[in-house]
Amino acid sequence: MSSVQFVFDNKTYHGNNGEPLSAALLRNHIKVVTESSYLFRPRGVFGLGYEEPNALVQIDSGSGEPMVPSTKIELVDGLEVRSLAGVGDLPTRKDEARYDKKYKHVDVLIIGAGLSGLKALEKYSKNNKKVMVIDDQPSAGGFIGDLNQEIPKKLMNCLKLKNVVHLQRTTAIGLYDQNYVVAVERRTDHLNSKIDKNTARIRTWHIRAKEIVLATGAMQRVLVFPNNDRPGILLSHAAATYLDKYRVGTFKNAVVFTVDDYGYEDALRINKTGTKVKAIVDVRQNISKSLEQKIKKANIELILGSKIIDTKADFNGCLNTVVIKTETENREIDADLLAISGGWTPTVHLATFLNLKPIWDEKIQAFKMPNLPKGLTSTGWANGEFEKVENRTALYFGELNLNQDEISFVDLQRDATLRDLKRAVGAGLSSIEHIKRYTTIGTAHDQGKTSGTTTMGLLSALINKKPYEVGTLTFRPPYVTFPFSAFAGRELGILTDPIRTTPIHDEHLKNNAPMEDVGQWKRPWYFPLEKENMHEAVLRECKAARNDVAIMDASTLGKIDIQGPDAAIFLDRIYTNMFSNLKIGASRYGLMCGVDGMVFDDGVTTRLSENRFLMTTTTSGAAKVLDWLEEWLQTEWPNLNVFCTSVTEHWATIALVGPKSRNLIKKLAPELDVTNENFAFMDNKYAKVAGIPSRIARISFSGELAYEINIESWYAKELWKEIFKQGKEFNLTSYGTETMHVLRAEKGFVIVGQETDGTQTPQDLGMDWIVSKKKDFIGKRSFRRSDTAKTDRHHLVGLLPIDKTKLLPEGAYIVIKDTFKNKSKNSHIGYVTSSYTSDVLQRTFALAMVANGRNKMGQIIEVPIGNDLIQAEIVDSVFYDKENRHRDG
Amino acid sequence: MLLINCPWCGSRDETEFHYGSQAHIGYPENPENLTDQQWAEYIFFRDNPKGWFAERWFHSAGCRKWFNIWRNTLTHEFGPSYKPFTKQPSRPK
Amino acid sequence: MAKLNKFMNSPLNGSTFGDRKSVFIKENPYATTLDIRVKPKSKSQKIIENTLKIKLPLTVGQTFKNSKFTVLVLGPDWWLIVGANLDHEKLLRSKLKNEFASIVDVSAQRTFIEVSGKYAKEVLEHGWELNLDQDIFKPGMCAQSVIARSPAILYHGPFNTYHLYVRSSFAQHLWNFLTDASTEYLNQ
Repeated sequence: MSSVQFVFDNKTYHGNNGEPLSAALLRNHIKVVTESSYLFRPRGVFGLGYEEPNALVQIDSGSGEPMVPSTKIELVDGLEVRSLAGVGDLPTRKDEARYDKKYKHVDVLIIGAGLSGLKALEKYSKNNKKVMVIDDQPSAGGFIGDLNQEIPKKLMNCLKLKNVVHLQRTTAIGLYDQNYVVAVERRTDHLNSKIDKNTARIRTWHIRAKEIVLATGAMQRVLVFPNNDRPGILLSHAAATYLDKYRVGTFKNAVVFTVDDYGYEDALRINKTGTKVKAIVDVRQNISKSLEQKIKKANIELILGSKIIDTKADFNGCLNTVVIKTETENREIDADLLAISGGWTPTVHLATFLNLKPIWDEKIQAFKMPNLPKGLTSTGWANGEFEKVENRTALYFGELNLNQDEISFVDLQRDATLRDLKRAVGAGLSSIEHIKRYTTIGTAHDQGKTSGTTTMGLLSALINKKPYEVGTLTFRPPYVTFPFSAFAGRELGILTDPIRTTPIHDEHLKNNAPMEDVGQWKRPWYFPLEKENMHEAVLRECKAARNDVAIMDASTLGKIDIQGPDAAIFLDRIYTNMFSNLKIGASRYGLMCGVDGMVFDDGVTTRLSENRFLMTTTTSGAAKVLDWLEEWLQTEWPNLNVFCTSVTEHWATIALVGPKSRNLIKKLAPELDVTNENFAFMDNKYAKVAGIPSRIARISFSGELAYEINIESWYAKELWKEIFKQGKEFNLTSYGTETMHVLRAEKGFVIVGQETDGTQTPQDLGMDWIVSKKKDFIGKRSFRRSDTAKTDRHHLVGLLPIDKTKLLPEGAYIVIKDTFKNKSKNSHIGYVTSSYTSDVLQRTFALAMVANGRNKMGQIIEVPIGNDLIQAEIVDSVFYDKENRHRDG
Repeated sequence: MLLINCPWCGSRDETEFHYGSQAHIGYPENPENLTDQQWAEYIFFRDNPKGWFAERWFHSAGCRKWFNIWRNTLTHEFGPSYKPFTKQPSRPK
Repeated sequence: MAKLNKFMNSPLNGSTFGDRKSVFIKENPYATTLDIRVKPKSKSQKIIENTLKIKLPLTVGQTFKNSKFTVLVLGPDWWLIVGANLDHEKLLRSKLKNEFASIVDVSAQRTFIEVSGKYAKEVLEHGWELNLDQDIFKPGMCAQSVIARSPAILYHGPFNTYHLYVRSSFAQHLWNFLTDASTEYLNQ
């Protein structure tokens, strides 16, 4: 093993490559790793794995990471860590590492590559089943590996089989319904050599398995007595492994405190390493003769029927004396290591994530795996299958009746003590879930891995119940902590969520248009000239549309191709207005409602042939509308012969808007007869525009003469550029979504989702003209419901601020005049839905929903903004060209 | 993420589906003949049982078909799925 | 529609990425594609099959391939015919006469991203949730699902060659995802 350098609290030390940092700290005599969170008591390494409650560090090298158990950090050259007391720091520099996720489907997933997991692997890897083995340690072997013993070759070889995927350093953090496991693989932190920047540091695995074997092993638990938290007090398996496997030296004299036979095995291991085990203190009165002989042979004093009741420390706070209460006396022994064998608790967390209750096993004095559903099994220690439990009779978790219960620690990381537990019981609590919240036991970073069973044991004694009556704490995923970046994977920055773009997107970027998010779409918001702000740009764009000609990319509108002999009947049922009488080649604006009669979406639909329509929807409503159509066709009207196909991206749409648009389209499509007589409002014509085959529709969302050019999206970018070239002489101006909103608001056209929020009927919006009286359609019956039919509903109205320069904020609420200051009840009568500054009106204006608004024309209302009350007059919602004189140019 | 059995595509991840509420709530034959109460019950009222529930799901990111399926609201277990207008399998035990 | 090549741009401008040894990604644009909807086993289905000399298989996820066309079954009454052109659409309409079928040219609706090479499957597994194991998603199978939150159709061509049919508006996003997911495997 090669020696490497690492830094702890700004000092350089040496350690062995790949060993746990905790081992290197111990070997370098760093017994005090940190202070406890609340009581600032010195704390050192306590455990060996994720159960570690004390020795957490902040990693400053590499990607940096706060609050990592030093037991789970593999030593590499250049590692820099520092001690932290409870709270970590989020690294502030940019993390250059990559993170990703991966999906995996297997026949069998084995969690844990200890002896039991590998035995399961031997069984399941036969018959060419696809097996995945994951294990959170650097190498397979589990408990046997800690003992520095070899796993039979026959088992290890199974890991190399072709049908086996084997991952170490991979922790299952969640188990969900239908055998779905989320596991986190740490892939680069342990690599010494220069890491390839392209290798993801952490990979989150999403695994679906037909069968899962839980071979998660067990964890030793804490015993409670005064001053049980000093550096130098370790779980016995951890202590033995540090001394025996990692050869940390460090400790001279040890005492082992045990409640079971496993403590003896650890004592013998420790004693072999040169650390003298002075005594084994066992709470039991008797042990087996053979064990007794082994201990005698090793020259270790055996103190049966006794307990540790206190410890003492040197000036650093590290253990130097243990106080033992035997049947006859109190004794002190000098020792710098106290190894605690408080019993093993099966690691049942994953199974309990499925809301399964672990089973109390009297024989092992612990909760073991619950009864598992089909497809899920457990094996080995996780299942409570311990070898040395015949003599495990004492139910002992600590001393209840000692004076110093305020320094008898139950949850080391939370500094929660026996006194806290007693206080909780004294306050009348008996449910372990309540106790958990009251004492904070089990709520720290380690989620009480070493303290859970101990808490339950002490509590059962305090309230005189059986442990199984007390039950266990509820564990929740993730089983261990890990960086958020592992959750995010590569879904960061531009990959956070799909960005949908139109075929003309690059041109918009070239023209410096800021983008507005419309659902997942990016749409140009406005096109500023040099030094122009948004307000100035929008006024200029509006002026161009009203006076000359302006161009917009409308490709994001949803488009649905509807075919079939019943297509017209279908549309009559979907839309509030009639479509079966639409002429071929003509377009019509339509409104659709939900069954509740509330406006759902709108758009223009064109009859392409007798049995074929092209529906357009709002940009953000496209998917919703297509789903809606499918729902009615498939679940209500299967007899209608109609099919719907999304063609949103097949067609691109370029709108030319303004009085000069006719001249421009004439120039672009010389063969097209553009006279109003032959190409009327809402008509469609096919022609080549700049040489590109197009469908041109006379549709207007601004009130101006306008043409929408529809082409296959492949041609959109070149056509856009070409139109620009040819439009120069007409002062062709590009405009974005903001100007589109202003233009339509000046005409009082609603935007579904802006004026509406799913609680407006067409009548509320003043659109009774679009509601057919002749036919049935979705939502019609609801217009007669008492609530929908009442007369004082909120109506769409216009607002003109008295001060022409005041802009009402969208969303602001509206109150009756002179009622706001005296705080009258019921003064709130509505809200502003859209508000802009208009070039053509030379003033500000707004659209609003106001209670009974249509019958309040001319009334003055007030809009409270901060300390200000802005007055505005209620007016008709159409501000510009009420007579539609501009529509035909 | 649950696996949901689409009658046409087999087991697929929940992310591919949209929930469609209680199954077998038909559009009333003649809405105009219904009282406000009856119409409101069609629009707004749905069962909310603890246990097995026949639901509609839409395989929106897959074959884009609506179907019905039994689901246990307590255990998240799925029972048999079935196509619209086919015989409903009996409630799972 | 006749193609006017100099005026055409595909969503990804025919981009390529990666290396042939490990993983290679490229856009194969402009494949003319017809979206076919007919009632399964109907007269219309027979007419379409006979007219184009193809099969419209009935199981979702199956495909049919001959020298001219690749047919993907997306739903029980839903097929995509890749390689058909607009003359085929006219031909079908004339043969179908009054038989009910929906035929839509969707050529520009999607673009085609080919992912091939030794690590093609691995790259896709970073975003494709369905099982891609060779014995499950065999060459010649297709599926419609979601990758990197984008709707997409995946067609397994010859061994280790996958075609993603992605809606044009999502193409750049999916491209960004695939090239990012490939980095670990390049030149290996």
